[in-house]
Amino acid sequence: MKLSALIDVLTFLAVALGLYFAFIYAPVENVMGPVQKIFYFHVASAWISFFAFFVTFICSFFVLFTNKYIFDDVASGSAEIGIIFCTIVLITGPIWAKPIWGTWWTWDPRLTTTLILWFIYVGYLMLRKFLDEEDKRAKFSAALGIIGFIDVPIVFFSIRWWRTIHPNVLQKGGGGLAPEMLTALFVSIFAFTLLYVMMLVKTSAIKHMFRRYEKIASNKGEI
Amino acid sequence: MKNYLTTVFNIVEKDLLLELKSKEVVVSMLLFSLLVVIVFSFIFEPGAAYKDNLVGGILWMAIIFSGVLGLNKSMLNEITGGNLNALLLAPVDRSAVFFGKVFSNFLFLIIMEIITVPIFMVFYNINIFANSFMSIVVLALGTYGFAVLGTLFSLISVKTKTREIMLPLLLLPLMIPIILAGIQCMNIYILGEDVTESYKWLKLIGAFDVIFTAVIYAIFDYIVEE
Amino acid sequence: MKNFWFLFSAYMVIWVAIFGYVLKLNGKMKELKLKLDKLESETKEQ
Repeated sequence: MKLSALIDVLTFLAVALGLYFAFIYAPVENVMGPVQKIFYFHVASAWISFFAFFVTFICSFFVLFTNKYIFDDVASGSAEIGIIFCTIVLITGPIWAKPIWGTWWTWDPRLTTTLILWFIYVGYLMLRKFLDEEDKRAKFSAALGIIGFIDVPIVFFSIRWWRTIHPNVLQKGGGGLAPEMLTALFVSIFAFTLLYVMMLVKTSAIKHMFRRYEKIASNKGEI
Repeated sequence: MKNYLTTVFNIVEKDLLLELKSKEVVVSMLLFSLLVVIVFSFIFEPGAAYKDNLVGGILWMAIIFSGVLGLNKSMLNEITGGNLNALLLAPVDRSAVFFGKVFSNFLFLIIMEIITVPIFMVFYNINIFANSFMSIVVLALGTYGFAVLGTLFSLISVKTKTREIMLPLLLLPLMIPIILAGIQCMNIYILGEDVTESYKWLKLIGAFDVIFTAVIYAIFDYIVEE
Repeated sequence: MKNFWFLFSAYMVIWVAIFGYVLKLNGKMKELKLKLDKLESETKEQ
């Protein structure tokens, strides 16, 4: 109990720090203006969503090999959090793109892969939603967690190959980053990592409690 | 090893014999693929110059959409009557049962393609073999990848409450590398461009097939463990 | 400053999503704890 409260407080502080670094410490970008500051939390969200899905990938192996439900709790919790950050990436990306590139969307490799990643994990959550049997749910979503994660880099590279054959005008990202901007980016990523950990701890605890509740309730029914 | 292959062969034989009798899977796939071919033709203005650039994609769409239907049906046949559970309880390597189903699904898809492709060529006035017979290679490789992932996810989705929508929802995003590579290759062969350009896409599909065959072989037993 | 509304709405999206989810999690936790405590005390009485 105390540990989770500590995590909550640290997360709040880290996020406040991240906001400071993004808005005040980092200089305003010359060409794009203040709108560029979306970048810090957009990129941080992208990193965290990939990391979250990586955690789901690893835990899925443990689900299959150890049959312990704790890994299923963490895998599915991480996927839920990953979807939230992935959604944030897909919404803030176009909001940034519109004033900068003049278009809401472009089928460039990174954005397209993120969209597909989103669909793969929506599939993961949908699959869990429509599978009632706990054992099947854990094992089948673990299979998807593993295969989905392996598929994502393949998707990315195939789209990138495709784009290099038919290059389009819009290129993402500028050249280098001012050092202060890099620092602000790292602080944002750090803050979001803590945010991720905090959410994962809470959601795993909820799933674990829920299972305990079910067990007691069903035992009670039997008595 | 020999037992493994025997199991695989037995499953394939069983499925082919069943299908020969009922013809359900292949016929429904075929009707749907032809429907896709016809309906998509409305995209083009008659005599449009850009048609040849796009028809490769339409062929793959026909195969993928009808394939999803067929995979669903094929797995449904297996579930009714508790067949699949019985098979998984049998004292054989479970992944052998799985790969048996993969190969029978692969064959059903190929049969559907053998009939769809000539009709497609007639409707769109295009010869996918004019410049190269590599079209056969890309169809074979792509269909195998489709069969491997498709069989696994049809097994997974058939147990859910919304099985018809679950399979395409899960399968289509995962299939994107094959779809993209398949269309790129087909366009190269149709438009008569340099065939060597297609080799890297073929390698991609090949790598995809190998990777997922290996991964599923490794984890299948754990997935269906009771 | 130009494009201010884009910056503002992007940040609002981020915080609504995150804050909303965390609130939902906290709510669920409270509810589950209450339920668990109630169940546990009921089974103890038996």
